[in-house]
Amino acid sequence: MVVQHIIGDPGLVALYLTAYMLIALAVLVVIFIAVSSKKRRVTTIYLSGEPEDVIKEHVPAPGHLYWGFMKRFARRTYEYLVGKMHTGNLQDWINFMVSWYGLLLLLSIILGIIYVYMR
Amino acid sequence: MMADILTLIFSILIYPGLLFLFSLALFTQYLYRKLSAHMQKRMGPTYVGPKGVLQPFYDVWKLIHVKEEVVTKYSLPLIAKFFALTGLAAAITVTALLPLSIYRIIGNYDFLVYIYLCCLWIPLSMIIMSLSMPGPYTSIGVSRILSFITVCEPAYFASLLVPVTLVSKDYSPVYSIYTASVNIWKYWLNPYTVPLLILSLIAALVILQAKAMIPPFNIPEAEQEIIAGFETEFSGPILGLGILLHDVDVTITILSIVYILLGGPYPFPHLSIPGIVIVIVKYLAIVLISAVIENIFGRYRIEQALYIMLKYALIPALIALILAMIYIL
Repeated sequence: MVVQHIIGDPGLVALYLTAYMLIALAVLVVIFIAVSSKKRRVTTIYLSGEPEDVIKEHVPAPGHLYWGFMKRFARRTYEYLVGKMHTGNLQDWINFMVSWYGLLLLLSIILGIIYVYMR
Repeated sequence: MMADILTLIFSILIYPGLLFLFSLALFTQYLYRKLSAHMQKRMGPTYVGPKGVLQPFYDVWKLIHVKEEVVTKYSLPLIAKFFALTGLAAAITVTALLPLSIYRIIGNYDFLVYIYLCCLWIPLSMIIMSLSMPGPYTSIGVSRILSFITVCEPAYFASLLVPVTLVSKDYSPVYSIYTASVNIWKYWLNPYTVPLLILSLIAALVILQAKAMIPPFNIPEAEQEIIAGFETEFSGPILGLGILLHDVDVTITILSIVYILLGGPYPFPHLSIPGIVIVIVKYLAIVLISAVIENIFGRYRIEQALYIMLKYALIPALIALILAMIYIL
């Protein structure tokens, strides 16, 4: 038998699903407590055999968490932009800005025509 | 009312909740391992159960039920376990939105709740689990997951929004997972919408590799380079829950692609032989494609992985989304 609730209000959908998730969480907690191992052993942090004093912090600083994104990925984009438009030559800056604004203007005109035509 | 409650309990405990979803997740892990082993001329799981099919279950059961928890003085194992269970609960909840559920919750804009559960709760649970068991290798792993999320989750959102947007033009409830799953097959027959769906499918397949953190996108785990990345300090029950959460996340992603993008069993009903065969074939095909990609490519560095995701997932998905918006005008 399939029970199907069709709800118009998105807020109610979120509420129903939150209740569903809480019930599922309660069931999982009960099952986990019943079956999980209670044995525990305390040890030191895994540092490939080194002592703990070789590291400064045991938890990462928020700035380091996005290291891969900011320093590697975003930096390439930043360097590209600097190389293209921030060369110190005003002509480069004008070329870059005018070409991009031109492209955006062209896109908006095309989309506008498509919109009017489709309507 | 009583029948409602019984169906709700059955859907959470048995189908498509706990028992079905966890079994499917562990079976999917088995398929990945067996296919990879076959491609690398190894045996793969062999001894536990027929053809080794119970090996993933046995591994997780042993970790949760038998093995000891190894903690340091900086660990917060209770928080780690609580968030692992929260992530699993979010995954079970997602099944209520899919047509395969026997207790369906359908509504306008339920797609946004789906994204909230899939792209926020599951990765967030994994990250909090990892940060609760801190260590230098863990920190590097988490930083790489966070970098992944910045590109991977918007691409996933955009790729699934394409079919949902297309279907919402003609059918209601609008922006609903169920509506999209039931009707998207009609848009695979429309020459104007096929290219958009193909672009979304390509993006979704790339994102599946990234969400599953399997090669070429296994840099957050990066075995050997950073030991086990975000999982380095996991052990015993926490490691068992971590593996289960990862497998369930992969399974939910594959199920979402099968239903929302590829239309599940439709136009046939679920309880028909063609319907069952179509769903199984689509599911296995996606696992096979993913396993082939896993075994063809080596590991990308973090910035390479982000560029590949940008190029082959986010940009195609955004182009498809813009074209879908133009189509529904």
